[in-house]
Amino acid sequence: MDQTIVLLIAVANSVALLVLISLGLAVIFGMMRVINFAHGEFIMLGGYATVLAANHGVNLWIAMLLIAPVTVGLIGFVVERLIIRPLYGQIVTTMLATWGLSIFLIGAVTTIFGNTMLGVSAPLGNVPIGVYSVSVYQLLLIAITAVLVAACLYVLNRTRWGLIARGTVQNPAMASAIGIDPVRVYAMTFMAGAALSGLAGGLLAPLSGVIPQMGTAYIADAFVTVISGGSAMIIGTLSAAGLLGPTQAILSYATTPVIGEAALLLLAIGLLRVLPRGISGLWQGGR
Amino acid sequence: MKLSRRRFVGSAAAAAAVAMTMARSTFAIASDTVAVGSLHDLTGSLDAFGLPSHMCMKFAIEELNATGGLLGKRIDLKTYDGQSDIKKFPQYAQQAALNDKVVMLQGAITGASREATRPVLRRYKVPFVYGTIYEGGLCETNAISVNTGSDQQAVPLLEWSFKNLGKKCFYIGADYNAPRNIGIWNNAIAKKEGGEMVGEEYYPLDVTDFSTAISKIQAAKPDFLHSCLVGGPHMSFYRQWAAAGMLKKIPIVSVVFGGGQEHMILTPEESDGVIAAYNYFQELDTPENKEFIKRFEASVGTDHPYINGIAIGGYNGPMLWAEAVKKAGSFNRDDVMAALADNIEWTGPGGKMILDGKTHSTQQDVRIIQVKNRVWSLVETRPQIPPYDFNGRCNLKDNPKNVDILNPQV
Amino acid sequence: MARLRNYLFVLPVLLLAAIGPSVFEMFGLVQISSFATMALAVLGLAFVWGFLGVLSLGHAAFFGLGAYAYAIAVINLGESSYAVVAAIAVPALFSVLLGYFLFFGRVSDVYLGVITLCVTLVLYNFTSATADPSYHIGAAPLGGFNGITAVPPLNWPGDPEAVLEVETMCRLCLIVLAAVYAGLVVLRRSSIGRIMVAIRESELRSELLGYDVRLYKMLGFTVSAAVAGLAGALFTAVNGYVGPSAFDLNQASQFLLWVIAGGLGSLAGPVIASFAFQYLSTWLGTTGVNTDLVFGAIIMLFVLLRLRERLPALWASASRFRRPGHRVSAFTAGPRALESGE
Repeated sequence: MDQTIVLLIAVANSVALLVLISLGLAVIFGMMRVINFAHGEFIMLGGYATVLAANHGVNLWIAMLLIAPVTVGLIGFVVERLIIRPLYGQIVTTMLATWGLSIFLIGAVTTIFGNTMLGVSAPLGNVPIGVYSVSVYQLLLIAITAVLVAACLYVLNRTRWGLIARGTVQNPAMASAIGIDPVRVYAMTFMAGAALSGLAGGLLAPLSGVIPQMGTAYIADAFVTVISGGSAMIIGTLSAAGLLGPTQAILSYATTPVIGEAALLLLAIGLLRVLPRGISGLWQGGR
Repeated sequence: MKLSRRRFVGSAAAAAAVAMTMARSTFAIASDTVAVGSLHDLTGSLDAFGLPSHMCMKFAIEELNATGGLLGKRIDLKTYDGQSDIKKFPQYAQQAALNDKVVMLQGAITGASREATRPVLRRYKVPFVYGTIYEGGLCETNAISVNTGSDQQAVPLLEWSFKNLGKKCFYIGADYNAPRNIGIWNNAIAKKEGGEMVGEEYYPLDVTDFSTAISKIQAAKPDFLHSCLVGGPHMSFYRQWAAAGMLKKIPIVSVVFGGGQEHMILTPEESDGVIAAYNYFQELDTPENKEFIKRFEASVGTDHPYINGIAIGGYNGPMLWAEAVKKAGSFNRDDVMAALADNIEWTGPGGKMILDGKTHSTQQDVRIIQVKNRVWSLVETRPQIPPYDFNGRCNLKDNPKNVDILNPQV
Repeated sequence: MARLRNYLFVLPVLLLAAIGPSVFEMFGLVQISSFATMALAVLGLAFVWGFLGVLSLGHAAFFGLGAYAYAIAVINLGESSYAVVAAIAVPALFSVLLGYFLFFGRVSDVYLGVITLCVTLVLYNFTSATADPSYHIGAAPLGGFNGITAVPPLNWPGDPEAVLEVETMCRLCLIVLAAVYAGLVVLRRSSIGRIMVAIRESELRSELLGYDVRLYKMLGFTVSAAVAGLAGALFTAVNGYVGPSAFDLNQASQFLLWVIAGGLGSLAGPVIASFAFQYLSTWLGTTGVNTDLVFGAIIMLFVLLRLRERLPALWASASRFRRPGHRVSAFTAGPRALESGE
């Protein structure tokens, strides 16, 4: 019984993690068709922002929930202006430019902060479940991710901003005809996506090794999840994570992590073969 | 048969083809400087290991030059950044040997880069000094290993652990060659000490989510955890382990913890109490080490990465090699390696070291240490642990042509 | 005249092959050989992506498969000639299977790219996990993360003991590069090649004209795989080593970078770009600067500047976004550009 609970938690954790690391990339890809290979480094910058703030006495929660997303959002603003905007529509070129950016960011962080820096440990202690014990923070993270997803859905579907954003994506010409500046919308979207990545980094900081290269471990899985999800940013990513996450978690537990990761990738391949436009293609038809 | 002969002939033919170049190169040495190469990962995911090692090597060369150089020549250190890209290692090794004409090359932290570099240096007859801790098994005339092999670390550590921590051990390691070879010792020592292995798990280097791992360990209920997790992503394990409240419940022992500056990145709540075994640690309280740290900090300043048991190899390597060169009176590879036949003795910051002619590996003290508040302190010293000779299979005096990596058979 | 001009690039390569060994020292020759094999690999991608429009993000998979196939075959067989054949055959076969899966399933543009990327990542994960000595094919241990080392070099066909010297190897790599380049030019100018270009221009129209687009795409895909496999074999023969890093994200990105930097649609451009970037990367490692910082900046600058040269209209309208008249054009081109096949 305990083992089942723990396994369920592991599965939920796996899904939440995939969602968390993919959300920022999903927003940017879904809205702008931009594949941002520096996404992992945005996560890393969020982690660094949190750790630096916490090490200077700022409350951990403020550091994670406020400072990380704001910092990376601002960085995203600069990146969008300098790198993404000149390359709109050129999907592969943007990929390469952001790949160069990711290498550059790793080098920059290493040069400025060195490659070892004291991190932050997870707050809130742990809760015993039979012979097991689980970190309370890890459970909280699952909850926070769920709230985040709900918030994103709400913003996209129920607020004016969301309406403007979705409208601009569907038909930029029409949007500008009614007075909305598509460029502004794209810039804001990229910033939002960057902020989400930064938030992910901040939330993950107490549970990962915060080093300059930490983003590289996340980019592959995030990329695969987002593309498998398709263009319906939030629901698509959620569905993809809901499919890929449990597969990876259960197989890792039952056999080895290598098989778990391989299963995730193979499942994604299968998914894309069957649903060439990602899971979103199931209900989106045309686009 | 045809295979190994052909491979040997292949290397011999290539060696013959470059003999002319090498002949030309020896004349290059007849100036007043001689070149030595440092091939470490200074950027990329392995920079935490490469930078301190390179720093120590640079300092060693400085000290050698300060006392008049070697055989009357000043040593010119050529630096190559492997960039954590294994493909660069054979290239830089070739550049070092053919272009820069180094008389010695040290570096290649990971087993993968070591294996990619060794054949190149062997082909061009450039002595290869291997300065990092590893799983053991290097047995080659062209190479010398100056740091501890896993048997030198794992055996004392496991013996101590089974005696002091309990009889049930769970092993968790990174999924590549070194941790797997280190894992071989677990069963052997467990049997010897009347203990048992209750689990053995390997995780790829880029795994960051260890919830399933932690559950498995909790279910197995070991008395101590032997961890051979390596690198940045694996640091997440220690964070998550502490978050699940396990740090205070099950002690962790390791032959690699601290090597990647883990204790500097993790907070005290996440690392206090972890036990490791190395030849050297920066807080070692001996006159030799205190002197060394003083001189080192005079050169690089006090703001430097922690010098752990891996990094010190960067210092010990050139020093031990220099002793061999002085004994041989020449930089020539064959002369230097012949000088090892009667062993080379030298005392460094980590104590007395004896470079053994049979195995080309180094006998040295091993210290069991524990970290608290990010500072290491001594628990127990095991003096002068000899390198493992693989049941007599590693004997370069009888079998100088061996180039294979040997696996422990226990 | 026009016909000869297309083969112009072959000349400097052959010239280098001829005089290189007299000009360069041993190390320079080894470096040229190694770089040339990488340039050969990127030719495959430049072909299938530039001419056919198939975006293969996982080109490294074929390169790596060829490299591993060569290493395993030459260690087991003792003779390198069959190993080279294996190195071409294995990736080609794999590409046929993968191509069937992709093209006959009508997967296209970005999603196809992602699948190929996943494939190379799966191969990377798999080869990294074979550290245990029980993973071996014949006499060749797969070696896991360490890879396969001390791989024998090429020998003269028929005589396993007669190993190619460095100079000969260098000449061989360059000649193969020139030959494959010429071969691809011939292919492009043939009727098959013209159909491939037509497919890149408009898949719908080509199909309506009666050509089976799927077959042509698969053919192009297989050609690219074979070229990459050959390159993998030569690379392993020159360096004596192959490991999982042949499959990783970094390697895959490098190929893409060289094609974009060299110009999509060109063959010579990516070859030159590959040499340039390889030299740059190697040189940077000896300078003592933080290689990530500099290399990343150079990639960004190059990609941005390159595009600037190539698409002045897009750049101009992007920078004049404040003016109502121009606002629409740049961004209608945005997401839609994807659908019309980038």
